Formats: sequence, C-alpha cells, structure tokens
Amino acid sequence: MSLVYAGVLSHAPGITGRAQLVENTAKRDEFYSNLDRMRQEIEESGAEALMVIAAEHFGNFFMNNMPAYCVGIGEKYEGPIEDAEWLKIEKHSIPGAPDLGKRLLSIILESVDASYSEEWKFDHGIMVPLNFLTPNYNLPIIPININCQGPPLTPLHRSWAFGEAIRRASDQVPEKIAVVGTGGISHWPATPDSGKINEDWDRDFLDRLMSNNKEALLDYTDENIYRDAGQGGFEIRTFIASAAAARGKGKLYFYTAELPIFAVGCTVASFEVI
Amino acid sequence: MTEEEAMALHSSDIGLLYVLGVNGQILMHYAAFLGIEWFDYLELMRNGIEKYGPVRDGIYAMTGGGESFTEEEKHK
Repeated sequence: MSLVYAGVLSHAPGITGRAQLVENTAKRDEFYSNLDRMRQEIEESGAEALMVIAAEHFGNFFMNNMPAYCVGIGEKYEGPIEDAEWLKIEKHSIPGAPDLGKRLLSIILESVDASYSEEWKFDHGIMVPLNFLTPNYNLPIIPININCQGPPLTPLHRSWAFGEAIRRASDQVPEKIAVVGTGGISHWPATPDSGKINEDWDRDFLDRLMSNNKEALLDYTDENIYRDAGQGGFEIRTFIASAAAARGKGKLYFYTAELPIFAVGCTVASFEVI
Repeated sequence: MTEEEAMALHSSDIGLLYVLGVNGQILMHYAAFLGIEWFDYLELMRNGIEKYGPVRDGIYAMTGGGESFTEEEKHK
C-alpha cells in the first residue's frame, strides 16, 4: 500500500488574498494552525509526491474543451496564474512527477477516461493549499482536476469511482503518495452572495464525509446542491474522490462558518487510509 | 459577441457583465485587473442587478444579490 495520507481542505483565494482584512483573527489563525497540522502530517507520512485533487477555475480548461478529469504529468508547473499581489502568493516553479504521474495515469485509465496535461498553470485552487502544505515547494506535485465549474458536470458516483481508481493506482506503485482533495462545501464564490455559507448543509455533508458513507455522499443532485450550497458546492466532488481513495473514516480537524470574508466554510480534515 | 456584451466590456461595466452571465471566477480577475477592490466588486455586481435586472445567462440564477454576508464589508 503506497497511499500514506489522505485529507481535504479549503482553497478559496480569500484565505490568503484577504487575510489582512479579517477581523476575527483568532479564528483565522486557528484555521491556519490546522492547515499547518496537515502539513506536518504529510511530512511525517514520508510522502514522496502529493496528489492534489482540485477544481480548476477556467485558467487551463475552458468551455471549448472541458475534461471531466485530468491528471498532470508535467515535469514542472508554474503558479499562481492569478496576480501574485491579488492572491498574496508569490509566483513559484513547482516540481512535478512525470514518471510517477504517467504510471498512475495508465492504471487510472483502466477504469476512468481521464485526460492528461504536461502543461498546467496552477490557480488558487492548488496554490492556496500548496502555500500551506508545501511552503518550500519542494514536494513533487501531481495535479488532478475534476471539472466542478462548467456544467454538465461529472456525476458524483463517477467522482467516487475516480477516487477508487486513484487508490488502485497508488497501491500499484512503490512510491509513497499523499492525496488531498481541495474545494469548498457550500459557497457562492465571486458573486454578490460571496460570503454566504449554509452551515447546516456543510455540517450535514461533513457528517457524511467523516463517516465515509458512500451512499449518503452520493445522495445529492446537482439541482439540490445548487439550491442549497451554491455553484461552489459542486466542488464536493474533490472531497468525495478523496474519501473514496482513503476508504477509512475521517477526522474533522477544523470547520468554521465564521470567516465569511474567505467566502467559504473553512475546512481541514484527514481520513484513515485503510 | 453582441453589441451589449461589447459595450459592457469596453465600458468596464462589471454589473452588466455579471448580469449578462460572465462567470465570477473570470469576472473577479477582470475587476482586479481594473484595480477594483474586492468589496467594491461585490457592490458593482449588486448595482448591476438593481440596474439591469436578474442574471440572464450562464450558471447563475438569482439566489440573492442584495445582501452582504461579510462583517468586514459592513464595517468598510
């Protein structure tokens, strides 16, 4: 077994970009502390590469050609694609893992028709997590995208199957691999409703996620996600894929709806890998 | 591009671009490119809804648009 760590975390750009505007700094710092806890756990796992299951926001994939799933097999990446001053993250070169990525992809393709990319400019969806989890940018990254932005979207049960494929692939390579899913739960990002958070919906989803209850996790429709959790809620696909890869129950380290300036219910959790 | 879309783009009318259906994940960066601060960007979208009516196309149906959910914005 080579999957040595699995977790989920938020990635909203405000987490870094609007950090200086936060009034509830104690809650912000508690969130950051839990992100640092995740960093330590990944380091202690001995992971040789980090797979980031993200939800890209039109920086690389657009409506003219939108893959449901994509695996990065590049030698290196650049990010953030956004203005560094806006995101408050300096531009970096991030190492990839092309050989490992290709081996993983070849196994994933046995059950999921994923696309691949040798070129990828990371947006906040990956750079905000990396800013906290690999601040020195010295851990090889395998970026993975699930289209959560432009409907029609891949069904939730396919996201689960994709997570299972990631796990099967990870188990067949000798390298130690960590995986994190990153997205929002309920949120209405970059709209006039930015900052709106449906805490009850979030906590119900997190209960399902932490119990790694497949049936309950897949018991949503895009219509009710949109109604109750906003268009940002579509990103639960990244969390679901991570749960499927881990197989074990989760431990919720941190959740708060008290930082709406970050435009998302801020979440940090890990799963038991079994 | 329609005449209205071109006009909205040329006049940097964030509110109209939002109403016409531009995805916020793109529009927020255009606003930043124009030097518009975050809370002003949110307000420009709200003003656009008030002036031009509900969002006409794209992923956004109207689920609100008149309310601030952020204490920091209310204190601005």
